[in-house]
Amino acid sequence: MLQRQLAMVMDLNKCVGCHTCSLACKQLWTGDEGREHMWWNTVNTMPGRGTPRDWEGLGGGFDAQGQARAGRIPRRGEFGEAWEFNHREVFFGGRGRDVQLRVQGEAPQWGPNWDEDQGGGEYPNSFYFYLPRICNHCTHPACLEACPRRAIFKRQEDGIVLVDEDRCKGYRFCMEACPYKKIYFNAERGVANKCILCLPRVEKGVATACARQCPGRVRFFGFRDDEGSAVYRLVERWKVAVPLHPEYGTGPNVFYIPPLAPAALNERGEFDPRRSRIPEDYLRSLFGQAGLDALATLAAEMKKTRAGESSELIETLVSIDWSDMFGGFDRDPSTIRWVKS
Amino acid sequence: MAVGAGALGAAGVSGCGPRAGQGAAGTYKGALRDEPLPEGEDFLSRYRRRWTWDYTARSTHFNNCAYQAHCAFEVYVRDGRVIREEQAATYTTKRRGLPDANPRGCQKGCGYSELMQGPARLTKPLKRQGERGTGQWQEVSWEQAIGEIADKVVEVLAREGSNSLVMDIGTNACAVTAFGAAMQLADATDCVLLDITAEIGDDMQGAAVTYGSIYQARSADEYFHSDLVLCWSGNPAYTQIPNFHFLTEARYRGTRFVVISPDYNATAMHADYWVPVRPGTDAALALAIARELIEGKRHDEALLREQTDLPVLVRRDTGRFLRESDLKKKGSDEQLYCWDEVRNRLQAVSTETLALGDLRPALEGRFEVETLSGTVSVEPAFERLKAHVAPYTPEAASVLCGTPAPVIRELARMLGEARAACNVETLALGKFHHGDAMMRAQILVFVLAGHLGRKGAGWTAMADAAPDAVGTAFGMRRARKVASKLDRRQWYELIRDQVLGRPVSRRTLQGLSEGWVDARFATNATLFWNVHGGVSEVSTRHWDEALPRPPAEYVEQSLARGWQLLEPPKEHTPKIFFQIAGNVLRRVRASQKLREVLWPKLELVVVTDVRMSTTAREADYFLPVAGFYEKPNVAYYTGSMLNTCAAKAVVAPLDDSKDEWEIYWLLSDEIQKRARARGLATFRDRRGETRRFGDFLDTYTLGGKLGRKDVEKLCKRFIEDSTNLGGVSWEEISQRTYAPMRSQGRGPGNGSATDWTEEETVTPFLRHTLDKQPWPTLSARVQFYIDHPWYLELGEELPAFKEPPKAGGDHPLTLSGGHTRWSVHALQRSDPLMLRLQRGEPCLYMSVEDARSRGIGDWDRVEVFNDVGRFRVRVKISPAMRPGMLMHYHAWEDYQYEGGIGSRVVAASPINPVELAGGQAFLTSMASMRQPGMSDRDTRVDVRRLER
Repeated sequence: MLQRQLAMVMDLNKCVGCHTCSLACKQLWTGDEGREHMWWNTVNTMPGRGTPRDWEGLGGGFDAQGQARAGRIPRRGEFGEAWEFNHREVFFGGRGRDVQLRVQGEAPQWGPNWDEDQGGGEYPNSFYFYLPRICNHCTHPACLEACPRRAIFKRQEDGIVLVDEDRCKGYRFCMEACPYKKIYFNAERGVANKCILCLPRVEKGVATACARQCPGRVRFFGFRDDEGSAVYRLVERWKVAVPLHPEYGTGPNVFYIPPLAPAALNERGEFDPRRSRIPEDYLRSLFGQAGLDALATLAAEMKKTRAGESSELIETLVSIDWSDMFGGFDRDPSTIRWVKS
Repeated sequence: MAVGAGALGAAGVSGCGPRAGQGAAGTYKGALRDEPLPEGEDFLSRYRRRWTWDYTARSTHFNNCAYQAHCAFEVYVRDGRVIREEQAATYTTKRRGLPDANPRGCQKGCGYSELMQGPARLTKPLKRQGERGTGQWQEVSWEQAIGEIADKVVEVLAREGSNSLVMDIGTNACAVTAFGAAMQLADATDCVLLDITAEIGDDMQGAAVTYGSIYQARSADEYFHSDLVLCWSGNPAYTQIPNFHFLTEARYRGTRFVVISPDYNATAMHADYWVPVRPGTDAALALAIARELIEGKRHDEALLREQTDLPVLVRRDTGRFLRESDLKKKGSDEQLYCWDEVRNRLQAVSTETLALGDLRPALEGRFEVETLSGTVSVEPAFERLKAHVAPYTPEAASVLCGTPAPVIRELARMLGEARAACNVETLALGKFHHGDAMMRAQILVFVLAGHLGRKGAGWTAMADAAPDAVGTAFGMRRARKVASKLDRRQWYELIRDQVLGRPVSRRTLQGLSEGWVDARFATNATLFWNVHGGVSEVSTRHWDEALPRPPAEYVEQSLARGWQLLEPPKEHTPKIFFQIAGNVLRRVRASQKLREVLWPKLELVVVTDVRMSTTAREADYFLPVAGFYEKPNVAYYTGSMLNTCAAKAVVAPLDDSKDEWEIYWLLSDEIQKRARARGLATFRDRRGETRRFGDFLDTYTLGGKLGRKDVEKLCKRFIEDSTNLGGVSWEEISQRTYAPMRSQGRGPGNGSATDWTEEETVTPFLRHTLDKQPWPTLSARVQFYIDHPWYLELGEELPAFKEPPKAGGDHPLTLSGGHTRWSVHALQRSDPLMLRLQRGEPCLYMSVEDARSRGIGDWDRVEVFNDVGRFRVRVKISPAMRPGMLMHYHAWEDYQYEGGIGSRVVAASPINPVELAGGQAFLTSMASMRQPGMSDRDTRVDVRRLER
C-alpha cells in the first residue's frame, strides 16, 4: 500500500535547455558499468522527435480501458550511442589535416539531443520549447506490471519506482511497456537501468541532482501530500502543473508547467494576442485540456502581477528562497562526512 | 519545511553533529555531520556507495564566461580523484524582496571533471617533431622544454630586442594564475603584448564613444526593477545560464520581456514579444523607434537637456560643434556651447557639473553666432537628430530591417510608456562591422525615452568590476607607475591633457597615486594581425561599396598620425610567439592568413594550455597547464553577480602539468642562466632602452618576493591588497570561493559611476543622474554627436544606419554566429561529453527555405564558400532560422572540420574606419576600447550540397 509519493514539477517557462540536469545525472549515475550511453535525464526541443527517436509513437502504457497498449523496445541507436572519439589519432597520429576529430565507427544518425533548437512552425511564427524528462515514477507503472520477474517495485514510503537489478534478467518487457521510453538496457550487466530519483540523496534529505543543480530553478521537488511544499501548491492547489501525456494511463508523478510563448505575428505584421504561437492542438496533444487550463490560470495570475498585485502562484514559481523549492529536501550534500560504521 | 528526509526512515540521519576542527566551515556553510558509509552488496547499496566521497572542497572554473562568471562549486574527491562537482549553492546575497542567486552553474561547470580527466586533456610537455601542424610530437621533460625555449628567447632578445617577442594572453586568462604570471613574464621580457578586446569583438565601441566607457557594473537582478526588458542582440539563454532565472522570474513578477533577433532562439522562447529583424540592420529599426518617440513627443526633454549632448550647438556650415576656438583666439577646442532659452544667449557647456541651475539649454531652434570668421548659423544637435531620423518612418525602416511596421510602432510605444526599461547586456554587437552604430542607436532610443541612470532603467554594455589590486599587482614595470585613483572624468582629462600637450589638470592630479597608464602597455591585436599577420590581404579589400576611400588608406593615415598604436612597427619582424590561455588560429577572423604570412616568420611558437587547441597544433612546444582544481587562483573578472572568486587547489596538478606561475618562473630563471652561460648581458626593450638579462628573474618575481612554488602567495597578495572586497582574508575567500564586491574601488575602472549596498541591486550611472557628475566624453555628457572628420566624412556623426558590407563578396546568404551553449570559447569543444549532447561535430543551422532551394537535407554535408575561402560542414535545418541567414555557433577547432579548414576562412572582417579615428581626447584609444575590432556577422556566403 503506497503511503507517500514523491513528485517533481518542472517549470518549462524557466528552462533554457542547458542540460545541466543531464550532466548532473550523468556524472553521478551513468558514467560507467555499461551505462555510458544512458541519459536518465534528457532534454528535448519540442516539437521534435526526441529521445529515443519518435518515442511518442513507440507504444506502451494503458488505453482508456486500462488495458496495456502494445509497445516496442527502442533500439540502441534510437537513444544514441556513447560516441567515442579519436583524440589521440588527431593529436598525435602525425596525419596533419588528413584526420578529423570524429565519432568513431558508423557515422551517427541520432543522439540524445539530435534535434536541438530545430523546432516547428513557419518563420516568423517559428516556435519551440524545451522538455526535460526523467522517469515519471508513475502511480500505475506500466514497467512494473510488465515485468515477469517482478523485479520492478514501487517503494511504499516514497513511491520511487526501482528496478531491482539483482532480480532483473534483462528481458526488457519494461522497456516495451514504458510509454515514456525512459528505461535503458545495460548490455554489460544484462539488466534494465533507469532513473532512481536519486534515492541515496533523497533518503539523506538532499534533493535530486537534476533538481538541485538546475541553474534555471526549473524543478520543484517534494511529497505530493505535503501541503507546505511548492509541489503541492502547484499540482494540487493551483493545478498549473500537469502530467505529460496523461492519456498514457500510468499516472506520472512528474508534472509540467506548460510553456508560454511570444505573441504570434499575423499577416499584417501585427502581434496577434488571440493567436497562440505554439498551436493549441499541439499543447493539447502533450498535456491534454488540463495543460491549456493551466496556461489560462498562469496568464490570469501574470496579469495580476503586471498590475502590481501579488499572487501566491507567481511567488511560488519565483521562489525567493531557492531552498524552498525542494519540499524540505534542502540539505547541503557537502555537509555530509562519510564514516566507516 | 517540516517533512522531508527525516520521515523516510530507511536510512535516516544518524550523524552526531560537527566534529572538532570543522568550525571554519561553519562560517560559510552548515556544519559537517557524519553519516555511515553504506555497506551491503545489493543493488541499492551499490548505488548508495556511488554517492560517497572522501572529502569535498570548494573551487570554481576560472573560465572567461563573461556575464555569467563565476559559480561556487563543491568538488567531490574519492581516492585522490575528482569524481564529480556540484554547485555549492550557499549564496547569501539577497536584495530586498528579490530571489537569491542559487544555485548558479551550468552544464560546462557540472561536467568539468570529465574535461579535466578525459581524452581532451594534455598533461605532458610536448616538442614538435615533423612540420608544424602535422601532429608529430615527442614527450619531453620540463628541463628540456624550458631549456630549449629559454635558449631561443635569449638568442632573439639579444639579437633583435623585445619587439621580436609577441605575447597573446587569450580570452581564457581571466584569473591571476594565468594572467598575473603572464603579465610578469611580459614585464621581464618587455615583449609586445596584444590587446585583444576589440579584436575578439568585445570592444563595445558604441558605448565607448557614447558613454566614454564600456564597463558598467549592473547586477543581474536589476531586471526586477524594470517593467520592460529588451534583449536586443545575443542569446543569453546560451551565454548567461546561471543568471537567466532572474529574467524568467522578473517576467513572472510583471516585467515585459522583448527579444529582438533575426533567429527565433532559446532566449526568444521566453519573451512576451519576439521581434524579427534582418541581420545587421538593427540601427534602422532603432532610428525608426527614435523617430516615433520624437514625433509622439514621448522623448524625455529634461533628461536630454541635462545628461546629453543633444542641446550642444553644431555649426550648420561645417557640421562641427561650435567651439571656443571658433569664438576667440587661443580658445579651447574642448569648450562647447548650448543656447540658454532663459537668457536667450550663448552659454558655455560646463564640464564640472551637469546641474543646470536656472539654465534651460535649447533642444530646438536655429541661432546666429558671431565667430572669428563671421556670423555662423548654429543649431542644437537635437535639431540635426530630428532631421536625421525623419526619413525613418516605420514603413521605410521596415523595408531596410525587415521588421513589420506595426511592430516598430508597438516597440516605440512600449519604450515610451515604460516606467523603467533596460537591456540585457550581451557581447554580440561588437562582432558586426557597424556594431558601433547599432549600439549608439540602441543607446539613443533608451535615453530618448528617458531610461538612463535610474533603478531598472538604462542601456549598459558590460558588467564588470574587479578586485582593485588588478591595477597595481602585476606588470608594474611595464606600466611605469603613473596613474591613478581617478574617476572616469579625471581619467578622461588626464588623456585629454596628454593629447593636447597640456600639463595635468589640478583636478586630475588630486586623483593620481599609482596604477597603470601607458598607451604602450599593449597593442591593438586587430592591427597586429592585419599588418604582421597578413589579414589585411582580405580585410582591406573594398567590401563596402559605400566607403569613399580605399580601406587601406584609413589604416595608413591612422597609424601615421599616431591615432592608433602598432607594435612592433611595420618594418620589425616578430620572431617568437607566446600563446597563453588563448587560441589565435581559431579565434582570429581570417586566421588562415596568420598561418600563411605570420607563422613562417616565427622561429618559436610556444603554447601553454590544458588541451590541444588549433594553435597548439601549430606550435613548436606545448607546455601543459594545471587545471582549475589543481592550483590556487583568483578571478579578476566578476561578471554580473559582482562576486570575486578564489580557490585553493583541490587536488595536485595532474601528471606533469604545472601552474603558470611556476612555468614562467622556470623560464625566467633559465633565461637568466642561459644568457650568463653565453656571455650575453643585455637586450634592447621596446623603447630601445637597455635591459639586463641578470634582472630577469628579479623582475618576474616582483623584486624577488615570490619563489617558484609561491603561486598561492601571489593570489593571497592580490586579494588582500584589494580594497573593495570588504577586507576578506585569503583564507576566508578561498574556502568559501567567493566574496561580494563592495564597491568599484580604486583605479580607473569606475565606468559605472555608482555606489551600492548589499541590500540593493546595482544600478549604474547614478553619480551622473543623481549627483550630476560629468561624463567622460568631449561634451561631458552622453555623446550622441561625434564631429570627428572621419565620422563626418562617413556620415556617422549621429548614430546611423548603414547597409551591412558584403564581407566576402556579393553572395546571397549572411553567415551569422554566436557564442555556443556547449563551450566557453573552445575549452569544451573537444570534450566528448558535450559533443554527445550535440551531433559530435560542427554543424550549420539553415532555414527551411534556403535548404529547400538548394536541395539540401538535414545532416547533409555542404560547402560554404565566398570570395575569400571555403569550408565544409554538416547542416541542421530549422524553421527558427530566418531565410537568408545561416547560423554557425563558434569555437569549433580546425581539426573538427573536414580538411582541417575551419569557418574563420570565410570571414573577411573589413576594417571599419571610424574605429581608427583618433586625435581627439575622447576618441583616444585606451585599454580595451576605441580600437579597431574584427567582425564576422556580416559575412556573405553561398552554400552547395556535397555528395551524400
